[in-house]
Amino acid sequence: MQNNSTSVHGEKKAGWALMSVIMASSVGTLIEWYDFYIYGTLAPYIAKQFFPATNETLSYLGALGTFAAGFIVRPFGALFFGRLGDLIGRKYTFLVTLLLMGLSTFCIGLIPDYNSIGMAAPIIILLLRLLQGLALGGEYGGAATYVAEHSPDHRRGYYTGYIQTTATIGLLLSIVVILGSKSYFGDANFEAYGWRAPFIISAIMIIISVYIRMKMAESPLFSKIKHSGKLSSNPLKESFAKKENLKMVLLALFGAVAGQGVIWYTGQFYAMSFMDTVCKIEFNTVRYILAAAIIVGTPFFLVFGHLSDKIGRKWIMLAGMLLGILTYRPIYSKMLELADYKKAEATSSWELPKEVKVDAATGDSTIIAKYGKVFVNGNTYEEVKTTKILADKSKPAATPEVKTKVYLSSSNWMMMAFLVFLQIIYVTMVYGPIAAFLVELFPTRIRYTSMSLPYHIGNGIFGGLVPYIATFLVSNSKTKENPSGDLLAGLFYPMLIAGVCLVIGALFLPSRTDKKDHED
Amino acid sequence: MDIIKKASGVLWIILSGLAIWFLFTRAIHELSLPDVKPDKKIFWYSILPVYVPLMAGLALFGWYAIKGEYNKLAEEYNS
Repeated sequence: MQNNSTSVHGEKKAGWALMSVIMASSVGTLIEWYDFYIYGTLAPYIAKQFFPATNETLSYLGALGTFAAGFIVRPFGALFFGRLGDLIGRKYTFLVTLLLMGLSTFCIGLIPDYNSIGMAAPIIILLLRLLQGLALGGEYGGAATYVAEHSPDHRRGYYTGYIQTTATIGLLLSIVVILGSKSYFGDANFEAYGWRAPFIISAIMIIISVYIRMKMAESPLFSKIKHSGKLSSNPLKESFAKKENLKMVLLALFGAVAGQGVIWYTGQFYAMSFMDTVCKIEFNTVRYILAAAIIVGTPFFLVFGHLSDKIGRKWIMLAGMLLGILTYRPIYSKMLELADYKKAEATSSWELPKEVKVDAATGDSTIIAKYGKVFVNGNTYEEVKTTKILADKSKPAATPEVKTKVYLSSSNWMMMAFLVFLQIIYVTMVYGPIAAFLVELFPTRIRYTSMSLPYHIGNGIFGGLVPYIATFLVSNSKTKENPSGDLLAGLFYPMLIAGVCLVIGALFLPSRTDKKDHED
Repeated sequence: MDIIKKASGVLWIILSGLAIWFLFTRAIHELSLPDVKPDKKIFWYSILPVYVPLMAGLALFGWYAIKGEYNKLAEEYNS
C-alpha cells in the first residue's frame, strides 16, 4: 500500500517536473514567435518611417527585409544554431537565440526614423530584422528537441504539442498587443510613434523568459551522450554529407514539412491577408475573427499531438493536407460571398458632407469624401476617398486614394470565424504531431541540426512564400475580359505543394507511435 | 509498394526539372518587361537562388527513391 502511494507520488512529481520543463521552454518560444510576427504585422507602419516609397534604394531595402528575414535567413539560423546545439547543448543555445531575438526586437522599437538619421535608419532596421530571422531559425529546433528529450516515448506527441501551440499563440499575442496599443494611442498616434510599443513591451517578456530558462537543466539525453563521449564532432557534415541522414532530411522536407508549412501559412496568414486585401474587411474585425478562431482552435494541437501517440503521426498530418486540398476553394469562395460588396443588393446608402483641409504652408488642399451602404445581408460598406489638389498646377495631379472597409453582420462574422476555424483545425492536424515526428526521425547526436533545417525550409520558404506567390498567381490571372482576375487562383500554390507532399508522405513516410528515443 | 516507390522517383525528377524550367522562363519574362518594380526584382532574385537548389533536392530525393534507398525505411525506423 505504502509502495503504491510512493509510486503515485513519484509519478505526480515527475509529471510536474515535466510540465515545468514544457512551460519554461514554451514561454520563450512563444515570445520569439511574438517578436517575429509583430514586425510582419507592423511592416506597413515601419515602411512609412524607414523605407519611404519615394526612394528606390529604400524600397529595395524594405522589400529585402520582408523577404530575406522571412525565408532566406531562417534556414541559415537553423544551420548555425542547430550545429551549436548539437555541440554545446540545447539549453545554452536556445538561451542565446532568445536573447538575440529579444535584443533585436527591443532595438527595432528604439531606432530613430529615416527623417532623423537618414540611410542609417533603414540599414539598422534591416540588420535587426535579419538577426530576428537568424534567432528564430535556431529557436524552434532547440525547444522541440529539448521537450521531446524530456518526454516519455509513449507521450512525446502530446507533450511536444505544447511547443506546437506557441507559434499560433505568439500570433494571437501579437494581435492582442497591437490591437491594445492601437486602441490606447489612437490611430494617428499609433501610426506616428505608438507602433513602437509592441516592440518595446517585448523586452519585459524576454527578461522573464530568460530568467526562467537560466534555471533549466540540460536535456537528459544530450547530457548522457556528452558524458559517454558520443557527441558529434561535426553535426553539419554528419547531417548532410552522410547519405543515411541526408535521405531522411529530404524525406522530412518533401514528405511532411513542405506540406505542413503551406497549410500552416494558408490557414492563418493567407486567411488574414485574404480578408484584409480581397474581402476588404475592416482591420480590427479581421484580427478579432482570427483571434476567435485561434482561441477555439489552439487546444486541438494537444488533441492531435495526443492522438498521434495512439494512432501514429503520419496519417493525421496527411489527413490535414488532404482536407486543405479538397476544401480550400469552397472555403475561400464562401469567404468572398460573405463579404461581397460588389454584387450584394443595398437597402440604403449615406454620404457625409465633403471635408476640405488646406495646408497653410504649401497651399495644397485635401478633399475627404465618405460614403457608405447597408446591404440586404446586414453587412455595411464604407468608402473614404481622399483627393489631394496641389496649389502648384504645373505639377501632375495626384491619384485619389480610396480606402474601402466592409463591416460584417453578426451572422456573417460568425460564419467567417467558423471558416477560419476550420483552417486552423487543418493547421493543428499537420502541425500538432510534427515536432515528435521530426525528433523521432533523427538520432540525438545530430538532431538539433538535422530537424531544424527541413523545418525552416518547409515553413520559411514553402510556407512563408504563400502570400507572395498567391498574389503573383492572382495578378497573372488578370485578363482584359476579367480585369480583377481569379481571386482564388492564389490557392493553387498551397494546394499543389500539399498535394505533392501528400503523395510523397503516403508512399514513403514510416508510421509508428512511441518510437524509442535512441541516443546515437 | 517498392516498385511504386522506385517508379515515383522518376516523377519527382521530372517534376523538379519542370519547376526549374518554369521558374527561369517566368523570371526572364517578368524581368524583361518595361518598368519592373523593385519588389518584383527582389522577388525573382530571391526566389531563383532559393528554389533552384530546393528543386535539385527533390531530384536527389527522386534519385534515392529509384535506387531503393527508402524501401527498407519502415524496418530501419522501427528497429
